[in-house]
Amino acid sequence: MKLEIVLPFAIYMVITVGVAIWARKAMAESVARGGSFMDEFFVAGRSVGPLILAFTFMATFASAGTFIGYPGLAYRNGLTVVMTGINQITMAYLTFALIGKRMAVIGHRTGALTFTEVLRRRFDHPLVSFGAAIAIIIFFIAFMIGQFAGAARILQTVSGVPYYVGVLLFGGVVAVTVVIGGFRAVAWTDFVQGAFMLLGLLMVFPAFVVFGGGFEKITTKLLTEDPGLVFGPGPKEWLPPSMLISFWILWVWLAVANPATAVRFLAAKNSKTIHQGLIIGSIMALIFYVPMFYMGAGTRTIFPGIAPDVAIPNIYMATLPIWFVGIALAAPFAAVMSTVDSLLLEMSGTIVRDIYQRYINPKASDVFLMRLAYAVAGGIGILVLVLAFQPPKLIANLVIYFGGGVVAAFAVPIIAALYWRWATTWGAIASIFGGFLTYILLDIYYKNPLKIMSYLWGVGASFVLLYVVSKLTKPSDKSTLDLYYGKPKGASAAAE
Amino acid sequence: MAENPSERDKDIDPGFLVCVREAKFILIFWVVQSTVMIGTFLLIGYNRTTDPFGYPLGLPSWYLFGGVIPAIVFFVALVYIVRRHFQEVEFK
Repeated sequence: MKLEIVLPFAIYMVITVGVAIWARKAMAESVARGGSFMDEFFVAGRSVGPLILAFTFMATFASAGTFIGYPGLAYRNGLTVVMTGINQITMAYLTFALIGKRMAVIGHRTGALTFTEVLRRRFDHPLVSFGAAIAIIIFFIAFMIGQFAGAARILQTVSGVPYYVGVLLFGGVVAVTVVIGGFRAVAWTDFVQGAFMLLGLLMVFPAFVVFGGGFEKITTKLLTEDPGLVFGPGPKEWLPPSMLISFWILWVWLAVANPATAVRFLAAKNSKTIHQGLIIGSIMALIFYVPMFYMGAGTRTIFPGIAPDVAIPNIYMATLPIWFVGIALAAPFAAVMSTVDSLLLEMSGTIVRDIYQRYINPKASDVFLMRLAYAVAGGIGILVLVLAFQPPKLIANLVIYFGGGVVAAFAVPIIAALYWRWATTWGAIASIFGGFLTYILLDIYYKNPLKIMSYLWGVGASFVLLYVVSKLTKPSDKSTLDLYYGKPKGASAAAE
Repeated sequence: MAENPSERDKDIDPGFLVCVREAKFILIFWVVQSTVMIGTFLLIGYNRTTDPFGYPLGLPSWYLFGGVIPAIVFFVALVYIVRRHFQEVEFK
């Protein structure tokens, strides 16, 4: 074990847990002043400002896929992967402007604490909650396995810590963060982790370019090996234009449709927070996504023949002084932990708030719900840990599976809930189930028909079903429509 | 029977209409940026063995002209638009 790498990394872990403890104190003080535990735990009392909002959004979205899996894919398929990933520079502004403000308004008006609750209060039916919960559980668990595996694999590569120890370490710190202080702890630690991500990237990218001999040398080497590593449609024609467009839509709309990122807007303090967060988030996206995948492709010219998922850890080891490696390494770890803690919190919220409290025990006390939220988060965390002991072959595959499933299930229903007054309950139910079932079935039996990714067919089915079924079924009642789209006075009355 | 939502436009929250306007705008903005970037990739980054512009700064020209430069130009435009034209809405 290399102490000079493990020590800075250990300090980072201690800082993370320390911030979570601090956030717990702030949460306890707020509850003591009369705040609701549920509000505090799930949306930090709706008090989050632009800087924390932008960082928690970006840190949640950027994952092992950003720092390990997708650069690994670029290592394998060259710069053509950049074409499919650089679009994420547009993800922050699209999400903030398209759903951010509306989610925040709905959160303040209805008291919604989770993404599923925003859907459920608009289309009030158990099938909406259950459909959303099933999709969230299936796709989030698949994604979290990739996250733990990615983090543990890096730690193993650079420091010699055994893979299973890495998995346990990450699971432990993430569980502590979530259980200690809920959304506030997650958001505050996301801020710290986002800062580490920026710092890590700003350190490693210039070092990588210098180490690789400059852009020209890297590009020339890739061209010499195979022009397909520089120009589309790439090696073995893996990226025909239809697949390029599929990926392009996927990564951007994943941020819009992902319950774990969308839910962050429920915590926003006011609309100025959304506007400023949009700009801060866009700056972060530029720093994350312009250089990251280039680095993955370029690593191929420096370390040929290694496993794709360890491309970036190898670059850290080769380009940075040894004491900086531990600090820079905190970046991918931060990406993993900030994503997984947010996913755990959202899953716990959906099960406790939208299923248990809404349909099983509406009179449950705050204390009981708090214990249940901890138990659910802990239980799912342990399940994922166990599943992660068998590492996936390529992390990017799990990330793509998760992304496709989430977009197919939620992109259409959440936009409809926020904007389309004519959407009906049965239209939404058909849209959720139609979207993710179409995706899952195609992914199993007939992947990527007509070279268009399966999830887009799911989105198409979701859209058509929403429209057709909504036209054929009874519109939502007036009080619901007033609550979501009516003038504030009417909305307040309906909420009461 | 529930009424048709279109019959009640007068009851619509003005803040909702602001959000609709901004959502439409940002969708168009995103489509334009995506078209510029994807169009450049397909035009000068596909089905080639050498670069038509000779690897400016050592990078493939599609990366520079279709990726880096549009990213910066559209970001600057976005900041201007958000600061000048996006409106505050009441959350309560």
